[in-house]
Amino acid sequence: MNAPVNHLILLIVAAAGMLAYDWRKLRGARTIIAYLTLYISGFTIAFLLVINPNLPGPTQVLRPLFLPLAKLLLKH
Amino acid sequence: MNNDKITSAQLACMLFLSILATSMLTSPSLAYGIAKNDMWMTPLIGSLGGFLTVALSLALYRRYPGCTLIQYSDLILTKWLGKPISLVFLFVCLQMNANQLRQFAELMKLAFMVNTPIIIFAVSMMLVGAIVVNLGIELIGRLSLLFTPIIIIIVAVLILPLIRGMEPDQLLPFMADGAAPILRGAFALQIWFPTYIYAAMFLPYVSDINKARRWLNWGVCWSTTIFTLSFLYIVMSMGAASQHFSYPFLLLSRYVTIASFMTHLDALIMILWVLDVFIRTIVMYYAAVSGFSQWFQLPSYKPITLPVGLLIVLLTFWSIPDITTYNFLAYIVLYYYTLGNICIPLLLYIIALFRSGPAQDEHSPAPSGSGPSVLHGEGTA
Repeated sequence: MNAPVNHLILLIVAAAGMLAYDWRKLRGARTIIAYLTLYISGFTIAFLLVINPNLPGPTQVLRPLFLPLAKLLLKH
Repeated sequence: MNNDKITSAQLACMLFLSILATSMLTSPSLAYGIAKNDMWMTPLIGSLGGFLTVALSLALYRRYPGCTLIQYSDLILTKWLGKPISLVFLFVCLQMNANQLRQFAELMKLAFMVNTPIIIFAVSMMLVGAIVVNLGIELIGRLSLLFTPIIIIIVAVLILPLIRGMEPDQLLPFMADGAAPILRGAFALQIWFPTYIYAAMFLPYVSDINKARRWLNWGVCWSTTIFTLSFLYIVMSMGAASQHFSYPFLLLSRYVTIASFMTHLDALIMILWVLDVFIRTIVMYYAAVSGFSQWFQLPSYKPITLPVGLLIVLLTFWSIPDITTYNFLAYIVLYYYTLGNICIPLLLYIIALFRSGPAQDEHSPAPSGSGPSVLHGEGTA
């Protein structure tokens, strides 16, 4: 339990630092919306991954889609 | 949007190094697993994917001058269909970034810095990449032109001393199982060759656009040559052992001695690997960042550099807990790279053929009569 707390603090520092560094560069509503979309989705995933590293992700989506094709290539 | 310009030669070097980066070390074991000792023929056929993507990116660019793939997918498919399609392309781009970063980190940990957590490699590479991407495309072009000779020399230094130990007999039997394994191996190489579609993201910045076709086709030829030579080298020196190692080239480099006192040349592999993956990272990272800024239609790509880098670092580790899972992914990666890098541009091109006139008039001063001649030129590429 100790490690995730440290990681969470590190992540919060990183998130705050990134926002502080970029905030002055953001001009115009469109840029701010785009930035916040990427920023919030990114750090939400990051926090969820620190709390639960086994969170299902793109591998679980892509593997069933392409596994039959992959077996086709490897047969023999 | 910006005044930075690169030359076609720089673009060709950028994409050539991007392909070389991960292929040099990992493609031999993949190709040997499928095509056995005929694997040196797979790049000759696999290069067709490279030529196809070069032709596609140039043909689409000629129909929509000044636009990248993200921008003309809106023009070709209308906004409602174009946005999701280009988002799929961007997702594949992010995945490519993430996969190469993971590979970089895993190799550094496996071979050189055993005790360092792999996230350190990924994050530091991404931060350096973010600095370079913010400095602009011109710097990326110059860096790759600067590094190309260095990397070629390193590859030559590693290959030449072992020539005496090669056994050409290892190439026999020739095509023992017929052509099918070679074709399957050539298909497996489509992880790398279609990277040339990223020319479509950089062509608007090229100053001498009339030389782009020649340089990019030369780039595909260089890649094919390097692939073929390194495959021949690995088959002739290692034979059947190739498939048991994830990085045969790294293993061989440890046997190389020059003049009996220069040993442990795997340090050269590390130089090659860091320089080359650095180029690949900044090229693909720039493509992802500029792609996202065009997808959101922002005036400048610079503010969103760090959030996109964050997404890339996340995808590097998300749902890939260990190296075993990662190695298995290589076979799945092939299919979604093919989807993103060949199928989507091909779809765009075919639909652009049916959509004549209005879309291209608003960007291009060229008369619409030039359309058929463009298409005609395509077949020869």
